[in-house]
Amino acid sequence: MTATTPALPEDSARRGLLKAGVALLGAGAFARALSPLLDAKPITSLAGFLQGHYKELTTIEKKAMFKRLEAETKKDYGADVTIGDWPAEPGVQFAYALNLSICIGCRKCSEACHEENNHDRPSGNSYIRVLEMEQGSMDLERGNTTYDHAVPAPGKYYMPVQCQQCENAPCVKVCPVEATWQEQDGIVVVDYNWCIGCRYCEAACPYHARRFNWKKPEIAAAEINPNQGYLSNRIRPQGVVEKCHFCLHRTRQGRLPACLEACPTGARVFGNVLDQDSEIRWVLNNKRVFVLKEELGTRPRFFYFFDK
Amino acid sequence: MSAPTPATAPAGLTSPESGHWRNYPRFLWNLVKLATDGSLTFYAWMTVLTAIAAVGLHSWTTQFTQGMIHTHMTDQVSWGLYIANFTFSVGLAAGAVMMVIPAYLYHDDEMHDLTIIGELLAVAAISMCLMFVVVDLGRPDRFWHMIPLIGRFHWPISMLTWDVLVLNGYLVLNLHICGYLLYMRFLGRRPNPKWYVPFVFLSIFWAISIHTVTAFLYSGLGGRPFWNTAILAPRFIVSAFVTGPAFILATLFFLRRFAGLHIGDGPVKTLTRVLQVTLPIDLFMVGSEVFTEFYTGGSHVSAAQYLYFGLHGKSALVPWIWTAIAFNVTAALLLARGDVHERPKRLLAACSLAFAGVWIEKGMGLIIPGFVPSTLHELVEYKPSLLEWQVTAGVWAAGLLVFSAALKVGLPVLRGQLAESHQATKVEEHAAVVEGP
Amino acid sequence: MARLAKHTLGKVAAMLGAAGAASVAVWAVLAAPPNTPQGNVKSTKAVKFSTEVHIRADFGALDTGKRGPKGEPILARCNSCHAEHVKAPYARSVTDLKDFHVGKAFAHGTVACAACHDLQDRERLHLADGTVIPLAEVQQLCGQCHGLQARDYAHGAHGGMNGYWDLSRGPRVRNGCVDCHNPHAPKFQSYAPVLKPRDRFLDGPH
Repeated sequence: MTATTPALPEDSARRGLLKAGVALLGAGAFARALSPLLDAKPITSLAGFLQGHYKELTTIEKKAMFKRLEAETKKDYGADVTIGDWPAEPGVQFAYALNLSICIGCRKCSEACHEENNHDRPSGNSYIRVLEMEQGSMDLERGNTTYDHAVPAPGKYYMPVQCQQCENAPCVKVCPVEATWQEQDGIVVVDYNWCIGCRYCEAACPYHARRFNWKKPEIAAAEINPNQGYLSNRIRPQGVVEKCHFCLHRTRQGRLPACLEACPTGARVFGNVLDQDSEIRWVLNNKRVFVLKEELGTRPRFFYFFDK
Repeated sequence: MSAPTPATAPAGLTSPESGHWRNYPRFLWNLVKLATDGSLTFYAWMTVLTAIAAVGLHSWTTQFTQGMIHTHMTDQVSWGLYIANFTFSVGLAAGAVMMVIPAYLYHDDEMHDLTIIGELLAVAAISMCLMFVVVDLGRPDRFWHMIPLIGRFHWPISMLTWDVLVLNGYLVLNLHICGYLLYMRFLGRRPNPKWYVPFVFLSIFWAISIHTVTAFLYSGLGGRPFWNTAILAPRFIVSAFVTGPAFILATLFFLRRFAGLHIGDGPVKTLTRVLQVTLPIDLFMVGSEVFTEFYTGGSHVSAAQYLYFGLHGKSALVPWIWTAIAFNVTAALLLARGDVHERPKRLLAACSLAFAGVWIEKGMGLIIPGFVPSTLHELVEYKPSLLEWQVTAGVWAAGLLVFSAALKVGLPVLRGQLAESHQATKVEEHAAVVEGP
Repeated sequence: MARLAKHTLGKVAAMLGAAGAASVAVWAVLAAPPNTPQGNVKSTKAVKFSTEVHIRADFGALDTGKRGPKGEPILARCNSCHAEHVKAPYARSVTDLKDFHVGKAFAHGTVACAACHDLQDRERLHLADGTVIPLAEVQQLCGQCHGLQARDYAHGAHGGMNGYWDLSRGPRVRNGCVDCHNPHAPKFQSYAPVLKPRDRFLDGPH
């Protein structure tokens, strides 16, 4: 019961000295513990730190912010890029369909995504994952993503999976800070400058559509696609989640997504479902389409079909 | 009591109207003094914890600046050791306060003494939860985005926002209860039940809510069949009722050993009884899950298959889960004897085993297999990296630091010491005033 | 010989006549541009841009297997041998063909040469009803048998493409049948897949 024993003056002085010494040691240890902060480049600029949510920025603020991001890209990656912003257009609802009968599993789509969207080069990241499936089975458990033999292999079919742009998107529901949302044309986007990197969306997504930037992406200046969108293919910061955005920097300007253009067989069909005469509408009306994991009620706008 | 009672103390020193502005800072300073004074053993203990926490802080700073590439998490297993420990700590925080239930709901007077230990443990465990969330963030610098009104708070849709609310609310609630009891003791006044009993009741329900919301974080995800089960919340609550009492029993053991504090046998018996019931229920619930998974079969069994037996030649979690089962079953057997509460070492062994068993069961045995195989059925295994272990150890050390300091401060309440020393000071001051010019 | 050729041709023609007539009809109806203006939805604004069907440069020629100074394949147009004044005889069998047409693969079911090729001019084709068409219009010919694919193609659901989904904002270039399918061995070629996933800790199947 030390506290009740009256302390002698010298004793308490010694104790005070001891405490001060320990406190000093503690402070030293604390400073040493924080030392990596000094070695590294700052993870964000002050302006980046203070930047508001995309939806709360005025057009002028956005313009200034794009300029800042372009300058940062120049500084960090040595590439001249333009960062634009294309809002969803009225009268457009995007949908995608993929013909499993003619997909050969060449992964050209995956590669095109890798290049178009300025993915990290060393990890070979891509928003598209191609599963080699057993004929006669829809069981993903029997699928394989790491095949490297010539394709198509006998007895197999191939199923590329990317963001299904669900109408009832579990990833959007779970985000604690509204850093991801669905736009009017159906594309689910991420504000990479607002995401806090909790990865709850990655846990919620039933399609493995989301990727996290475990480190700052590495990409050579010469390989950077300079035509960038704020909500799409600009180089993502470290520590945030990203995902397929149907190449909105292309598709909102009327162009086809990069993965479709890369497809050698024409297995991919993309367009505006509101347009009665669109190719995608024809497929939805005339093919027996299905969606992945329909039982989860996510209502994807990415469809699959077989010819035979 | 040799010191004068508050009633006879001079007015102005204890009057809440005029005195709080002066008394409260003094009370806080007193807490700091109390928390930093102690025996050599105490200093050694705190130094070791500080050292571990510093290592953890260093590792986390590395992770923060260079990226989470230093962890072994992947896009397939996107949550790892941090969130596993977060889940467990929420359970610890909830379980700590649930121990208050017998005291207040069933008027078990002896258990009243434990209230403050439970509340302090809750405070420490909640701080650990918050730390585990922060170390798991890719962008902790953007933490402010989650603050209501300043950021964009996706409430009530996102379960994580509920978790932020209930965890912080719980922290405030428990800080209030502990703070009020300590402050009243410092002032030498009897705590007014009006100011804390309603909060104690609230904290009991709140304790249930924090762990329910945490279970809902996982069980609400349709894409993760391993978690998508209604039994998850009850399972979390029951396992909280295991870890809370187990930790408090162990704390009592060490307090008796190192601080010479002897809590009556009644509470030990009560807590042991709780364990004797909750541990078998927890095992029963795990068993129910196992049955449902394996008897049904199909592709949804693959996570359980991977966890318990390995899948496609990969079996990193198998040793973990069987260790957990062995620990929990052994603990349940040790607790099965009626006189276990009178055998401290046996009880301590049972508590440690149950604590470690549930820690595995809710972490490596629940959070990780939710991701393996992935939603596209890729089988990517997860073994925490050294840095993750360091950060995790650091957070635990920080949590224990908070708990030790809090106990140091709270102990005199249990002993009735704080007030005495304060009143001694007051008397001296009074004397100074009286004898002054 | 002539009798045999006539016999074969007759059989094929009969076959095509039955199976192909319907397909031709389908093809004819569906060959119209898929994106016709209608309604007031944004993307159905008047189609300002065309859809061009690409055709490979070596169509109607034989790869001699030799390479030019820049490594480009040296091609021989069919009619450099098969023009009327040369009168190289028709091959009797695929084996005969292979002996001369180095490197040409033949794997197109039981279809005979003359089922598609015009007897008079090797760089022209003819439909089942005898209509002679230039090589560039080969798709009509394919569509006679491959009606399903022709229908899908007509609706943009078969065959690679580049350009704009919204033809009011830009043009589109599409692959033709023979860009991907060698008419003599139409099975889609085998590919070596690219960009194998190299995620951390992901190794081997599963």
